[in-house]
Parts: sequence; structure tokens; C-alpha cells
Amino acid sequence: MKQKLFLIFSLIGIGCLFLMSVPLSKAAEPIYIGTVQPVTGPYAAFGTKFYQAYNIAADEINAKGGIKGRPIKIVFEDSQDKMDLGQTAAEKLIARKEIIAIIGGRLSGVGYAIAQICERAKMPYLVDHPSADVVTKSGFQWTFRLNPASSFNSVPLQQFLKNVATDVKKVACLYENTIYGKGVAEPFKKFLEENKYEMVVSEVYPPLALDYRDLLTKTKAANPDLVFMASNIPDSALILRQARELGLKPKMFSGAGAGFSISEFIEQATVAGNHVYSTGPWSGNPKDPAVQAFMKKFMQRFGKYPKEHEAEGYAAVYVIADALKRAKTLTREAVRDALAKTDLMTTFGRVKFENFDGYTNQNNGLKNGQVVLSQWQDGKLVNVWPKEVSEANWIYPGKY
Amino acid sequence: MPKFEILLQAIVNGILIGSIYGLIAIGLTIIFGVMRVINMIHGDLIMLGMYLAYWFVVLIGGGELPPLLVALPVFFFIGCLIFRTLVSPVAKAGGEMGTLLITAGLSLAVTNFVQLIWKADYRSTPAQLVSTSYSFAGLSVSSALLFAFFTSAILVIAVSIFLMFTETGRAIRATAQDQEAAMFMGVNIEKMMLIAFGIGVALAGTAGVLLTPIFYVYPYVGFVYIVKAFVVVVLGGMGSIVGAALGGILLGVTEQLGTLFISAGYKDAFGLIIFVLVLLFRPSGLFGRSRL
Repeated sequence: MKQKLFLIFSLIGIGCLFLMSVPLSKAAEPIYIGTVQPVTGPYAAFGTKFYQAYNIAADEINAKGGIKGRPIKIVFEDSQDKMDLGQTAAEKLIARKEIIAIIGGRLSGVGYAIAQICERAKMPYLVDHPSADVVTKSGFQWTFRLNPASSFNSVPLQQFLKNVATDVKKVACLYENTIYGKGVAEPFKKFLEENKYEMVVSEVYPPLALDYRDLLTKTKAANPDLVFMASNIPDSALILRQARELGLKPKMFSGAGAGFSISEFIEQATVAGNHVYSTGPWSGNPKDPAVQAFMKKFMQRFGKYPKEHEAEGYAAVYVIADALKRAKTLTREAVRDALAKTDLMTTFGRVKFENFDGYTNQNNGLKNGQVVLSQWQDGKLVNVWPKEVSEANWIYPGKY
Repeated sequence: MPKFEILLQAIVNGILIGSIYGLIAIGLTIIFGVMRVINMIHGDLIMLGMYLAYWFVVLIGGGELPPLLVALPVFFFIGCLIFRTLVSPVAKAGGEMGTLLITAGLSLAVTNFVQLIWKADYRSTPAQLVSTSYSFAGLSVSSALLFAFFTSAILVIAVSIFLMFTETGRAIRATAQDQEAAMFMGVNIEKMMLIAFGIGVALAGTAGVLLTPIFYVYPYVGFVYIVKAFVVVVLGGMGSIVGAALGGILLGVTEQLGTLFISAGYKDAFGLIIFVLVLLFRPSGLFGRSRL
């Protein structure tokens, strides 16, 4: 009897709490924005980066009163950076009526999968990191990308080769067997061919392998001047460590963003990562006070400086917030129309979605100067090319 | 045709990497051989071994040897604990499928718990061991790989001697061959399984310690290992220790030579071609018949 009474009372108590909570939450019903990120799995460290970047931006916007008097809230769904799970995650977000836009995606393959689903379901999708050309080269009307497409990634390196590193003759290309790896390496290989460089090694490898010594032994035998790599983090640091161990010493190691432009790279590769170049998206203009303020604030809150990923994620929330502000109604369709008219200065530079060279709704990172060549110098990644945004002189040839 | 030095370098690397493949497979093969348990948590135990070595080096300092000596008893105990509380009761009730599912479930729980407390960051010990390598006649060999190679060779020999020449070892082998017959001969099969499980887990932990300076630690690293470990176990013959050791080396050398002569894109394919060929001619693996 006592137990039954207790049960009844506790049910009434819970009911009261529930009733009380309804009117309270209705006063400030948030605007929900969905995102698909690797929350668990081998790439979970990247999910953390976007979690931090989105929340710092959302908190800033909410502190200033939110949008149309309502706070924004980012809803995370886990993809483990797997394409099938990414699809399910996107479908889950689309099924929730209150979510009016999707951002993120992280891996190119996942981003492409989400873009296809969003096109069918008529859901606005803002890409902030997946870089493969195909994401904005498929004519999607509901997908927008603020980060540079993968074809742009190697452009600063190409300019560097033509203007500075003119003694480079033999080139080795090592890249992972994914949409991202191919999306970055193929335009660069085309450039090498057109400019009569000798491509001594061109190898794709399966990512997340234990060992790259086989690949590097083969590369060392070919004695290249430049080793170009497109890899994600666990692999990028391991490749440089094993290259050092095998005594592979080209004039220049250059990665293509991704696994080479984040702090984990230098933490894992340590000395082996020194003087390694990375060509790809920047993390904002270092001379811009707004970027400096963001860097400082991020450092205070999370204890590390933001790089490419965090800068992209932070800007993405501001781009979506800007679109929400301009949208006539808070529907998916109105948000899409507002996104299409975006022209905003963010910490990632100017964001304006355009149609050009077969791309649809792509921010022209090349024109807006958002791709740079940077180099790891004593534990810090500094921009070295182009001159307008450089923070230090390049060290060429690198001492590896 | 590549130069002789390059070929030699590839073969040497293949043997060294292969010994690591063997090392991560031995624990798995012992557990399978003795009690027919497909231990899905094996990869994550290697991961825990790596974290043990990582924290040891970061917090206390020193080389490889102290964490190795700590890992052996600690992981033996963890193995016994897992066996007593989870594997043994489930094996009695649910058989092979039951133990497969419980270890797979435990694997998910452990990886997610580790991510919760130590975050998803990639960590590695200060690279002092990594950057050192010995050069000899145009060959360069990583000191950490060499250390792992010799330690795993010693472990394989020690475990083999234990199983061959001691009373407990003989009882474990008897259990592996026929549980009922062993029971009739007065062997305490429950205890033998406990010891075998403990040894298998202890080997996983040691493998983790040895892998720490070579690889990097993150909560999901076990997945990378377990895929290779299963290939090696079946290649060498399920339950055979020598098979696992030699199967690992065969896989390692094949991958290195395949990359050198053809392409790294087919790295996993070379391993699996060897796998298919071996199973085609010896369906029970390289050393399938001489179990334990």
C-alpha cells in the first residue's frame, strides 16, 4: 500500500513539473539547427572541434538576444564519419519538423551523402568543411558551401612551385583512397602533367592503416624533390614519423589541409612535422582584429587556438544566423532563399554563394583569398604564401 | 625492378610489422583455441594496454620495460575478471553466439567509456623512441619496432614452452582438444579456461604497451587491430600460436612487397589474396591441425 501511495504521489509530482515546464519553455522556444558530425569513432576528435566552434558562436548570438527574439540551438547527430550512418543521421534530422537547416558533415563522402538527401527532402544544407568538388558540382539547389572546394586546395602550392621552389622536378603524390583524397590530388596531378613535372610516385592508400613504411620505402627509392600528401589526422602524423625513421628527405613535404593543418598533427608528429607545408583553407586572416578576438576567446574557453576546422564551423553558424535573420518566415524554404542571397564578412573571410565553372552555390574561396600555403615552424602553423596574408618567411628547402 | 637495398628494406620492414600482426593475434588465437570464444573485445584490450603505457610514460616517465612488467599481471587479472563475471556464465547458457555478443557489447561499452573519460584525442608518447632508428648498410630500422619484434618473439617462445612442458600447460592443451575427455581425466577445465583467458588478455595488454611508441592512442584504435588480428588468426590456423606468429609475418611481408611492386591502393587486397590462397590449399590454416 505504502509503495502504491508513493508511486501515485511521485507521478503527480512529475506531472506538476511537466505542466510547469511547458509555459516556461514556450516563451523562448529555440530555433533548431541540425548538424551531422563524427561524435564517436576514430575521427571523433573532429566532432569535438565543431562542437566547440558551433557552441561558442551560438552562445555569442544568444547572448546578444538570439534571432527574432529566439535563441538558436545546434542539434548533433553522430555519423562516425561513415557514409551510411551519415545518411541515417541526416534523415533523422530532416524528420524533426522544428529543425530548419543542416550544417556540417565533416568528411567529404558524408557531406555528399547529406547533400543528396537534403536535395530530395528540400532541406537547406550549409557545408562548412567537406571539400570534394562533387558536393557543389552536382547542381544541388539546397546545398551551399562556404569553405573552398578541393580543386582550389593546391593552388597556393602550385604558385609557390612556379615562383619560389623552381628547382622541384620530381614529385611524389600519396593520397588516401577517399572522395577527399582523390578530390585534392587529381587537380594537382593535372597541374603537374600540364607543367611537365616528373611524377615519380603516385599512390592511393587505404586510410587508418598501421603502417606506411611500404609506401615510403617505394617513395624513397624514387628520390622525389616534393612529396605531396592528402591525408586525415591519424595517418598524416604517422606518415611523417615513419618517413623520418626511413630517412626520406625531399626538399619539401606538403600536405593538403585536413590532417596537416590541425594542432593534433604537430602534437603527434613532433620533430618529424617541423617545416612541413600545408596547402588548403586558411583559418581566417591573421591580421583581422575580429579573427584575433575569436582566436583569443577560443583559447580562453578551450585552451587551444582554433585552426581551419574551428574557423569554418564558427563562420558557418554566423552565416546561418544571418540567413535566419533575413528569412521572411522561419521555414526551410525561406531559409534556403535567404542563404542564396548571403553576402557576409565572417572570420573566415567574405562569404557569398555563386555559380561559376560548374559549381552551384559555392563560395569562391580562390577569389576571396581563403586558400593559403602554410608551414609548421617550431610548433606553429604560419601562413607563408600568398604574400598578402603571410605571417612569416618560408623555410625552403625544409630541414626534415 | 627496384634496387636490392629497397627490396631488402621492404622485407625487413615486412618481418618487423608482421611480428606485430602476430603479437596482436596470439592472445585471440589462444582464447579461441581453448574455449571457442570469439573475443570481440580483444582490440579494445590492446587499446587499454596502450593507454596504460601512455599514462605510465607521461606521469612517471621511463622506458618501455616498467609498463610492460605492470601490464602482464594487471591484464591477466582483468582477463580473469572478464571470464568469471561475463564470459563463463554466458558460455554456459548461450554458447558461442552468446560469448560473441557479450564480448562485442563489452567492447562498445569500454570504447565509449574510455572516450568519456579520456576524450577522443589522439595521443602518443614523447617521440624519443619513435625518432630513433638504426642504420645499417643502407637499411634503417626503427628501434621501437625492433624492441617489439624481440619482445614478441620472447613472449611467443615463453607461452609455447609453458603450454608444452608444464603440467598446467598440458592440462590447458587437453582442455583445448576435448573438454569432456579432459574432465574425465581429472582436469579442472573451468580453471584451465580461466588461466587461458587470462593469458590471452595479458598478451593483448602487452601488445598494447609495445605498440604505444609505434602507433598512437585513441579510444577506437582497437578496431584497426582486431581486423588484422582476425585475418592472422584464420591464416595461421585457429588456435595455433606458431601459426599466428608466422601468419603475421607472412601477411606483413606480402603487404610490403605488394606495395613495392604493384600499388599501395591494393594493400588490403594482397593480404586477402594470400588469405584465400592459404585457405584454398589448407582450409584449416597454415598450422591448423596442430592446435596449441
